[in-house]
Amino acid sequence: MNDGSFIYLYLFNQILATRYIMPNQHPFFFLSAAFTYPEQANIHPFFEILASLSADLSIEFNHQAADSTSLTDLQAEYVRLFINSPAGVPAPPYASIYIDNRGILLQQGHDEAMSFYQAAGLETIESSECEDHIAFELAFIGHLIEDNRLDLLNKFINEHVLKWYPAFSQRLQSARPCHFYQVLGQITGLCLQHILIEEKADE
Amino acid sequence: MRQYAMIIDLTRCVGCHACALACRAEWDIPAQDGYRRNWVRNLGPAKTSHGLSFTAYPGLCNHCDKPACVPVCPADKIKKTFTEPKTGKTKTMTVAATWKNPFDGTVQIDKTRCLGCGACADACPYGARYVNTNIANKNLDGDGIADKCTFCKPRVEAGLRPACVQTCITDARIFGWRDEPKIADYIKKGAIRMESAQVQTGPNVYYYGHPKDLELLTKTSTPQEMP
Amino acid sequence: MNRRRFLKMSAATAMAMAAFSLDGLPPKGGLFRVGQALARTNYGPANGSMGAKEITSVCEMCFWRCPIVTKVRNGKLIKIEGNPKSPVNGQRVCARGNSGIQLLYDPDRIKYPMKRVGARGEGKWAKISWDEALEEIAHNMNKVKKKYGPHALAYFDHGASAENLREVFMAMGTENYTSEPAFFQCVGPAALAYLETVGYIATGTRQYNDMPHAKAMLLVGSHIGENVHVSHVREFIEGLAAGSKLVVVDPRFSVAAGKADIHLSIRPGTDTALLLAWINYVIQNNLYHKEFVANTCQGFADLKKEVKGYSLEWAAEICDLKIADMKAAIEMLAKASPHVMIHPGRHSTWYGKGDVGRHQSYAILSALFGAVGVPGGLYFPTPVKVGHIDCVEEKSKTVAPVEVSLKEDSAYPFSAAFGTVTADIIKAINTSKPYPIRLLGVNGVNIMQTIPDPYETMKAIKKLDFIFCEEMMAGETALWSDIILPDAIYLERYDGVYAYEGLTPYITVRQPALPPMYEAKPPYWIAKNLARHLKIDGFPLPDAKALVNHDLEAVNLSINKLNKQGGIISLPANPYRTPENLKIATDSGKIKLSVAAFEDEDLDAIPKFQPAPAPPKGYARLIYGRCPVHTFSRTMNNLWLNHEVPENKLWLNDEIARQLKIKNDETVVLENQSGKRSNPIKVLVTPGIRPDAVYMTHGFGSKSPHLSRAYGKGAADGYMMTNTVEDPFMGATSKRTNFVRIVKNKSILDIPEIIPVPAAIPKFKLRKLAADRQKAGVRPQYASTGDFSIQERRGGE
Repeated sequence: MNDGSFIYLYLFNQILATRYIMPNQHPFFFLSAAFTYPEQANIHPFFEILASLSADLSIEFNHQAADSTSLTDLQAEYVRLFINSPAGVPAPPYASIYIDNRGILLQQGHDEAMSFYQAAGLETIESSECEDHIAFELAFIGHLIEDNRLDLLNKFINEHVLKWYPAFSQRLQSARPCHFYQVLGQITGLCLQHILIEEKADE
Repeated sequence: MRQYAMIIDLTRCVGCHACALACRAEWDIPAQDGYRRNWVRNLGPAKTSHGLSFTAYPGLCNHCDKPACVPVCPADKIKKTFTEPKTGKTKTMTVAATWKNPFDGTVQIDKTRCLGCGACADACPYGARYVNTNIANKNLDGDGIADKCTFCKPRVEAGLRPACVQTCITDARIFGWRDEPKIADYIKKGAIRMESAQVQTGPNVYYYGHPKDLELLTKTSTPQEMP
Repeated sequence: MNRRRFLKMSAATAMAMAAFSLDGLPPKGGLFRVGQALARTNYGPANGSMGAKEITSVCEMCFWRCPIVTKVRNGKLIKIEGNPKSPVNGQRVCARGNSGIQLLYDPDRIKYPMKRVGARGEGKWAKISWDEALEEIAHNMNKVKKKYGPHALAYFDHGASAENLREVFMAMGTENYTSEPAFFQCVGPAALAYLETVGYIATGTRQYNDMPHAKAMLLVGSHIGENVHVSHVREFIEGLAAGSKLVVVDPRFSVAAGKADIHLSIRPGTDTALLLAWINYVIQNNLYHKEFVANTCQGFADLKKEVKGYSLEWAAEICDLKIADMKAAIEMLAKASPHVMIHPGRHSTWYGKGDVGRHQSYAILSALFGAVGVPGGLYFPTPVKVGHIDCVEEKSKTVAPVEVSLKEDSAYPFSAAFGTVTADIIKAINTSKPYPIRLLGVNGVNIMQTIPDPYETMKAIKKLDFIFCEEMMAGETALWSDIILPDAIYLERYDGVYAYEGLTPYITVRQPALPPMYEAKPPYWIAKNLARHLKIDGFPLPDAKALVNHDLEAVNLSINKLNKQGGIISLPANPYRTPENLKIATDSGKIKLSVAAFEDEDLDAIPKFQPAPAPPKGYARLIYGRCPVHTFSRTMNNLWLNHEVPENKLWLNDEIARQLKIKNDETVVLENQSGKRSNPIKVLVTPGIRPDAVYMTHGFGSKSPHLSRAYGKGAADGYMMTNTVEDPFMGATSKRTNFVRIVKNKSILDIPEIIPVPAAIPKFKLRKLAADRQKAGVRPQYASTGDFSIQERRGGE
């Protein structure tokens, strides 16, 4: 796969051109935010966007689950799935865990992510999190889209993100996540798939 | 040709696995089943003709005199020039993606040309090689890349000891030229090669120990036939 | 043609996201900023760890604390090696030391302060800030203190990192500021026996045994080599390589037994019978060092009289050994006198009654051979002075007065000097006697696996008002905690100064290879800030680095100066004494072959043989030991170590296995004398274990489902330990007083009694409950953490 044309972006830019959407409103910054620890007192906007994206992508969305989830529920679930759990953290959200089957933090997968960030001339903000956390990688995709770095975006997704996201997603889904993270995992997977169009696609 | 060799002195070994872990750390080998250059199998306690034995089989590539893994490599042959670091002497040989170095006797792999077919791993009677399928030479349509102990060649060339030797908590591992006294003396006083009637590849890892421990090692771990 | 569907975003989504971006969140996630564009670099291990930046430090994969070098490349720890300048280990580190990198980068390490949001034991947590966590702990400490008094606060600790927080507990006025299971469940009886006999703790955390220079060594149950402390194993092997003889007394054929000249496969629980018969034999046959005994020892006449009845013939029957072998062994040891190493062992809480006496017997044998202060014997530590500063001033750490003290008025006359008896704290929580204990702080201890009878411990935890822990990895303690504090890994922090007082004294320091990951904090920071929340004055130094520099200053050193010398300085040793210079630090200045202080408390001045009850019919004694790849229960989740040795095996005598038709590697379950069942465990069929005992390595079979790799792998000996006998001297709890039989395919298999038990040894009486249950065939109880159902949480994976 080399520099393919990019239908999603093409359309996206078309929409931009008609000024229906602000530049930061493709889903990747949202997905990134949704994969960070939930702390906003009002979590409804998250559910609304998730519901809306679900509709766009023909994913089933359970509105009742959204209504019955409290912030504490969401936090406890986030901790269980991604930080620490008595059952062993089921889906550590880091590239390093999955790439080359390393199973631990800050290995090859992290090196890869860092070198992509460097190549794009970006660096991560000061954070207590590892830079190959899914939230960083999704935000990075957002930046690449905005800056129109198609070649790098293609490489980043093919040579890095898709090397680990499916394995992560599988572990996330088999941990029986609450509806929010179940749908978030599915939507992110689809977005990562659909952003890439193979070269011959527009023939 | 000089030959690097290793002695494993089972009278000193306590089977603690430090060697296996130091190797994993030094060469960054993922902890997946079968992925290892260096291993320890604890043996016994079991009966032998000399009494009970409770010992260990610390294993690694034997850098054999007649390695079974080298001739089976199907990679395209190339001409490769080897240089002896000390003298600068060179020798050119036609090699596939794995060979026996003419100056130090170690068996090495060209990772950039390995196809990952696993023929070498299948040919080794000691199971000293594995194929890492997490990585591959995609330009060659490779399936993975073979890996094994190099006798820590880069370290040894830099004047260091192999990682397993350096970490061995009881100094049970001794590395050097096969004709050096620290190795040759052990061979003279009865260190054995893990060979059998069918398996005669000339391994260069030698095991020294009490007869009961060598008996258990041989009985349980010496390959009896070529794969 | 492979055409993929592409994403279309609806206007609704666009609207929602537009609103979202106004919702107080930084634009674009705010996770990146513009940096310097660099070409992609290829990191790779082509040269292994060579060329990495090296920082010297101190290992903490076990408490032996070998000096190490950490190797860092591109901000990541890539390897740990021994410090080449270390006189004890040089560049060597053991399997665990090599795997510290895995602990550092383990995705299961505790990353943030957390609070419990579900029921206790449910393991449902939310992330909180350090301020919230510390405020919550301070609030509860104050509340419990106000309501029940200061002694209602108790602290379980382990290791150097626990000391800072201990001072906070001391400042609260509780007498229960230290209860180290590692002491009361491990070295306690040995430490007391040596302290009273030879005047110093010749064996404790450190062991002053001159194995490299011994001409003969005796190990009783001690399995050096499987129990790996690098310098200790090195000294053992050095001694053997130099020609030392070796006698190993062990019901199991250990690695050490494999290197022994004589292995005595003794009936478990009868070691003291053998030792007393040997003492008698040495005296009767004039094999003792007369000059040394005359000049340095007291109580010889009493000893001689007391042990007279213990003949080798008698011991042969009790111990199930051959007279000729026993004789050959003691002659071999005597021949090497005074350069003979009667090894004090290490873990000494075996049978409760008689544990102190057994260690007294070792010390007596050393004294009779004149093997004290000479090469090859017990040697004296070389004091290494470094500075010290109290975090909380002494005057602010007064223990509040108490009517009946749990510590001082303990039923055990010799416990108070060492702390509060672990099991007494559990009892006090459960009974509120002599006073209630309602809050527990736990630091670096898995209290489920290190305190016998975890069922009582669980019951106790449920009764508490509050429990918090400071941990690196969430063990079973974290599962039950209300607040969990993430401790920095040993590779991320400064600690105290490490001074080694053994054969090769040195001073070194732990220093961080890297800053702490996530929000983990070093122990000093945690204690200092908790003190701040509690409004306790103290912690005058800004951080642990300043503390280390302060302690080094006293010896005219600093971290910088030390680093210039390779991170470690060696000092001259003074381990031996000439007869003229030999000063014994007991009150009488003599080695006490008979300890009057014991007699004053109605305990035996000279050890007597008290048989430990033999297995009841159908059962074998459960014994346990160490695996060189793991440190107790702490390392089972380590990816590399777990991959290396993922589970323990049950050693079963080959003849028993043949009779029970159990094959090697078959999986069985154990049931103990009170009906508790273990996790499934694979069997190692071997002639290397007696038929009346089974063996497993300790620490596997974690019940903390948190430790994802370790969970349910192998069986935990701790969960089989429901029968404990307390040592009458100091209250240490026995760990070899449990019996098991085998359950295979749901049917119970009685272990046949191949070796008859002499009448002098009583058999353990099965409690009525277990016996009845056995008759009625009632469903057994499975070992479980109680509230937590793994199936539910894991989603039936």
